[in-house]
Amino acid sequence: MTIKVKEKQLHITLEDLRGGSDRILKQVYEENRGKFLNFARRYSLSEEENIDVYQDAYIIFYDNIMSGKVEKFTSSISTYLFGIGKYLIFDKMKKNKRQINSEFDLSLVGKEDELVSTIELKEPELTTEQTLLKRHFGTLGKQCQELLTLFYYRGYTIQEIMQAENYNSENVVKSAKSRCMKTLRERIQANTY
Amino acid sequence: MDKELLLYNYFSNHLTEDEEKLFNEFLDSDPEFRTKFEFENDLKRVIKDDQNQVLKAKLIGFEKEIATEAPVAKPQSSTIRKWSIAASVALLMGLGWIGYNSLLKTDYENLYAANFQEYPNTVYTITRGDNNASVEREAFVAYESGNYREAILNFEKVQQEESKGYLDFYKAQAYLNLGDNTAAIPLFKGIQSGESDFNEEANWYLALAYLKQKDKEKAISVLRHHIEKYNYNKEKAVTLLDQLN
Repeated sequence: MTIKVKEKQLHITLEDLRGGSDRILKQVYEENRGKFLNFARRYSLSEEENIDVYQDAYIIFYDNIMSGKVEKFTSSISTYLFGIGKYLIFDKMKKNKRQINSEFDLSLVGKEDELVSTIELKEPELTTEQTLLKRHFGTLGKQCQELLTLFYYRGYTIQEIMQAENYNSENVVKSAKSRCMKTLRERIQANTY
Repeated sequence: MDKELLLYNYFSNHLTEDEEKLFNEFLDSDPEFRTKFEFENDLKRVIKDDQNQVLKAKLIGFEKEIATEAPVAKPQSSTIRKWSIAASVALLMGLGWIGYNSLLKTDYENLYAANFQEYPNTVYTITRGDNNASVEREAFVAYESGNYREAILNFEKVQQEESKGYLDFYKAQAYLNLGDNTAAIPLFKGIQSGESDFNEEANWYLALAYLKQKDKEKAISVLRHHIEKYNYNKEKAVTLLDQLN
């Protein structure tokens, strides 16, 4: 029974996750959820907080796949999620000012450091300029938002965008991208001054 | 070199070493280039934030679906219920004492299968580009790929060099996966009674190992101890104890 679960997990490739279909996202979410929550229950957070941590760990894991920081799976998906999750749990416990369970063997944290060092865990909050930029990004047409998301978030090349979005040539994609950026700049300037 | 191309290569992770050098020089010496770069970099950050919100909303949706998918007993219509009661009675009568007795027997195999789930590797991270060919790494690679015999051999090799609390736990897991409860039980007992990070987990798996051995009495006693002392899989332990009693 366990082996079956394992095989199922192995079938999920990095490309599947990059594709980002809801079916795959849900499958990975469900397959690792129970294990993660069991693991998280050793610490002093509430069940609600544990679910929140699981979701945040999942998002960070996903971001790192998108940014190319995780280039291939050398560990199971659950190991990545546990590694990130453990870091987030500690962070949350610190914020909650609860004491770390004295039974917890701190030497184990070191084992995750290797993974944590390859993964981008936390970023500073958005600056004022970024918040403004975000608001204006939201006012762009759907096509512009999609094109820029494919390039800046999903890491698609111009050629890949051309194929994925049925543009006629790479030049058409390039000029569309320039137009989107120009509109964005203009809207920000109009707002700022 | 074309500055636009430099920016393009930077954001699509395609900068060569030489280009990277040039890129950094422009960043320092060319304010216009720097402004362009910062704008695009901010945009990248903002889009990521946007996508994270979209994903978080999706995950919250999955969570709601899981909550509603949880089995809820549907009320049966009274006619169906009457017939099903009648059918059950007829079935029990038909089966007679021997059949009746076997229906009440504990289905150890199914209870074990319903509750056993291999504990994932949470202690040793096998990272990409990791050329560290340590025995411990090999042990966990074998464990994660389901080569439990090889994993056990390697865990034992590591233990000859140094003792780490979790090695016995994963060794016992490997034995359990191989169906060798006799080897797994003393290991779980040792962890459970000692000072380890895996006390609670070891106790839970000890109960499962007894279950697999069809040793109802010991399984019940370990589960009672578990519910009293530990939180790990507590709900499952309560349900399992109910099913055994």
